[in-house]
Amino acid sequence: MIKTGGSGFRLQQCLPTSITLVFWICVITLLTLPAGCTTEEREPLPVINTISVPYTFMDQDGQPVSQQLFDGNIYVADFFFTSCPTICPIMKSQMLRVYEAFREQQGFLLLSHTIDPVHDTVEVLHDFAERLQVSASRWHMVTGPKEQIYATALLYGLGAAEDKNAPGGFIHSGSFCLVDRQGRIRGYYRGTEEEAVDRLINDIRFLLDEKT
Amino acid sequence: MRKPDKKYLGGGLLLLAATLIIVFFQVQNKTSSAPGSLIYEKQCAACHGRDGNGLRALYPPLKDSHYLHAGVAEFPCLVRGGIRGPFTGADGTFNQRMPAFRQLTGEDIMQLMVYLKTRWGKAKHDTSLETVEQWLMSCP
Repeated sequence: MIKTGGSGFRLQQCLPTSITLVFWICVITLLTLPAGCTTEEREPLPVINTISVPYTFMDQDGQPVSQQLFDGNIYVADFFFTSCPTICPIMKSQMLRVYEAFREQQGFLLLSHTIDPVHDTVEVLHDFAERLQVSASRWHMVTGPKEQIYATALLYGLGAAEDKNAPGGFIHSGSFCLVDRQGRIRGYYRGTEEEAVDRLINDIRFLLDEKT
Repeated sequence: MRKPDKKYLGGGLLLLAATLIIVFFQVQNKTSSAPGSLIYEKQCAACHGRDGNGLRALYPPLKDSHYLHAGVAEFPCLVRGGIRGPFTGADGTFNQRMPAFRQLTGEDIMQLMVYLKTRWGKAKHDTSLETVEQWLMSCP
């Protein structure tokens, strides 16, 4: 037989307290879940390919840019053209986020190749970079012979081609390619998606801490 | 009768606040299905930004732009004809090529202007279809 005297009173006091306790445990668990995930040991980024570009291009300041400049640096490469009316403006605004995140970081560079070198001369790239308020010491925007730039895109595993039917006259990949200090490709990220670029920024931080 | 326990009142208020925050952000992120909004997202947002702020000195802002206020009559011709080479407007000097959106009809441009004015314009200019068509007829 259940006693309804003193023990009933205790049950009334106890039950809501338990519910409150469970509620707060759930809230705290949910709030700490992302932090818990980030503290876990991360798997190393995959090594996709090793890149070595045999060409020398010119950047927005008229300085020669070759593979040697990137040796020992982590860098992000992409392909674009300044008059691109579709994805390039979004790519550049996202690349600007990466630039701002690592603008003071030693051993980190950005490399953007124009796929329209006839229009995008050193002067045009200089004006573009100046308006974007970025420094050539951190972010190289390069031009060069068209066939060499298109061959370079293939080396990075990124597509680029002329297409008279495409807006602006060219089609190209909208991805960013992450390369480590040993010239190894470690990831591709959609340069038009904020979440993908968030992941890129995290992966760059991860690579910066990676022991060589 | 017992008064409500302050513990539960606090928890309830917390839940209410969390719900309101979630609803607020969902409303903020929701893309309007207005015709002008769809045109903006498809044709304009890549350069001028979904937030209308442009991109530094590269792409001009549309938010609070001169072309949504005193210069509103010039807007349809800029959209229809595009811009090549350096361009100095009331919003500054820019040097990017803007495509000519010849495929946009007078009604499309009117819908776009209604959307932009609602979102970022402050002055109440007449942008009826008849007025927009008149402005388009006087394009150089």
